Amino acid sequence: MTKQNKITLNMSWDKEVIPAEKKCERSLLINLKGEGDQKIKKKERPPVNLALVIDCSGSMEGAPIEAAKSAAKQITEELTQKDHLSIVSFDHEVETHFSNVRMDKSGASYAQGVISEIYTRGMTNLSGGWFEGARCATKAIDQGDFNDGFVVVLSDGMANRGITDPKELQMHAAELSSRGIQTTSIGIGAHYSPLQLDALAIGGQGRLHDTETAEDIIDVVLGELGEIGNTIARNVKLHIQYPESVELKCLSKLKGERSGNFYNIHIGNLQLNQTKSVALLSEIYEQTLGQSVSFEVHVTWDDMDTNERFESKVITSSIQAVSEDEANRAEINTSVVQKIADLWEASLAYEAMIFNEQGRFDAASSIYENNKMSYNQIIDSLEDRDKRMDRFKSVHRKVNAPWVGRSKRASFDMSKKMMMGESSLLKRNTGDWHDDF
Amino acid sequence: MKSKGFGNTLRETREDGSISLRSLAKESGVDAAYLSRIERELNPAPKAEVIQKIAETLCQIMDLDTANCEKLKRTLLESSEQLVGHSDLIRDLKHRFADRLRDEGVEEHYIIDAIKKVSLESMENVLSGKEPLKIARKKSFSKQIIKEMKSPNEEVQMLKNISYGIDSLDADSASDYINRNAKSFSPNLQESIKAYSLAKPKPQPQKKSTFKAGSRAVIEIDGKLSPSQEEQLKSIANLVQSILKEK
Repeated sequence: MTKQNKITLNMSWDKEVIPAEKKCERSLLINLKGEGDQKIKKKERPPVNLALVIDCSGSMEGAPIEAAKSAAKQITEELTQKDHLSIVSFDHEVETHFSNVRMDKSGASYAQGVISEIYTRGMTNLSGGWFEGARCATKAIDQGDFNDGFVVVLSDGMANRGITDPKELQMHAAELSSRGIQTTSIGIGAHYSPLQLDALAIGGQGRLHDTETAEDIIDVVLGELGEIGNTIARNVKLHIQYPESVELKCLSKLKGERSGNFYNIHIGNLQLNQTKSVALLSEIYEQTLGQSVSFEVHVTWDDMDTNERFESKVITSSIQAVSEDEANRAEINTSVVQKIADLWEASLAYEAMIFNEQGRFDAASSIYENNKMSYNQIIDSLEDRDKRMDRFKSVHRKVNAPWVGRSKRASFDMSKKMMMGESSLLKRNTGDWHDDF
Repeated sequence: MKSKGFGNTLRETREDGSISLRSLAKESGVDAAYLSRIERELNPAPKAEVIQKIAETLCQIMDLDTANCEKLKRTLLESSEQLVGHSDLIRDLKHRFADRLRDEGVEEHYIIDAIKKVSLESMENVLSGKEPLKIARKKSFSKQIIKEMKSPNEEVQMLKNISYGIDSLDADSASDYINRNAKSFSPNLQESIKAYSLAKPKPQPQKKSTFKAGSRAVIEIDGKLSPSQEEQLKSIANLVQSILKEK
């Protein structure tokens, strides 16, 4: 019998006590782990309905278009006769080279011939290309061949035709992802728009990947395809119920909504054995000695096998008000603090880089100014606090001025992956998001 | 309460907007005498396509914003008892109501239940500000207060945690969404797409169908048509003929 997929939850505090009659802050780390039948990992990858959308605007001329074409050709070799592929290219116009073609031997050879004929042309209509890719993937769903589709957009530039507003792109991608069309974006080189590509990936429940070479593109596309079979839960949501005497703040830039004393946080998809972590800062108002403050957490998700919405058991964690001496003596869980600091730092950098990309340097800088004191307090117990603080200041300076180029694209991508608990799919070692600071 | 008929509703709307019957007829391309007969309810309400056209003309003349224009379309279609089949307008109303609930901080799974339970009329009234929207946890009110709230003019709904996606309510597929939004992405998308397919390597000359609408107009269609599409086009041809006042 197949073991049912489930998500297990785990809550840890930096300190499990607070001083009585005193307002104070505590950090909470919630880990979500995807569990299920280990055998599914060894099973063959399920068939995929893939649409590759290739930017062929003028800026792609030379190495970028050659990398994209070479990657697309190798991807056709890796696909099997169970898979269907569509290829769309776009400049200011959109061209569907073929759609919904079965990748058997003749299909793959036809596809490779067509890919060779892709040349660079004019401006960048990213939205038009992406939308046409989604349309091709939808065709396979309409024909009953697949239940869902997967659009991968490859681009090196900034859209200047069609819909260019990231919010609007995200909205359309989210609408289509709720209808079974997932989008992943691959930025190539140093000049792509992380905002536009990230918007498609966020809305499309996929990922943004930063790449430089054809090998990188192949790594991420094949890595993504490999992960399709391992995804056990979609639209994962974390539900936290907290007391009225607490103010709760999510330190990761995750979408969430509040209702009374409930806080619901969108986690995205979860794979088998994958752990995603959420860092929270809770400001706890004065409690009398011996009083407990309880937090209840549960998670809901769409199960990949049954398509039903599942709900986990509710788990509870409490913090107790003790004497000030006892609170000071209580041990700090440094591994929790370490993880929270990592998530928070990556999240601040990601958010500030978004403002930096928009040219809103003051907003980027104020993120660092507003969080400096709390961040400093949290990392105080860590051995590497001075190094962390130096880095904090260094990123602050960097986002407060125009910043372009490869290092920013790589940092943007990696800080987001750190924040979201996603691994890099690249085979080469990409290091940490903050290596350049 | 039974709603007014289409003719009365149309006349009231037109008069409220100080629009003459003649100018509405001219702008919408509907024959004035026919329009007058409809308003006096001597003729039944026209088909949904014609009502849409009339509504759009009224919106244009009255300079209504999108929300009020959609509301007007719904009112006219409802009075003609054709709203049931008009999924776009209902969907739009539901989505706007869902957004309003989101603004109020209602959780997504309760919103889905609210969309199912709250009547379209109440949604309309809340969105237009005619009725207040009160949201509270069940335990916040005693049974007696809830009973008193359920007066003839007030709708009270207990919401449950429904977990499936909001779009499953209107069974809107990815291709529905794509067809609905194709224009926003590229007005000339269809012209600019050069589609290739293994199954059809060479484009075949397309079959043409023509529908005569009197001696002055012809509707010409490329490609195959289903029997129901043919029927619809025939009725449009009749409509075009009546607009051109042919006898």
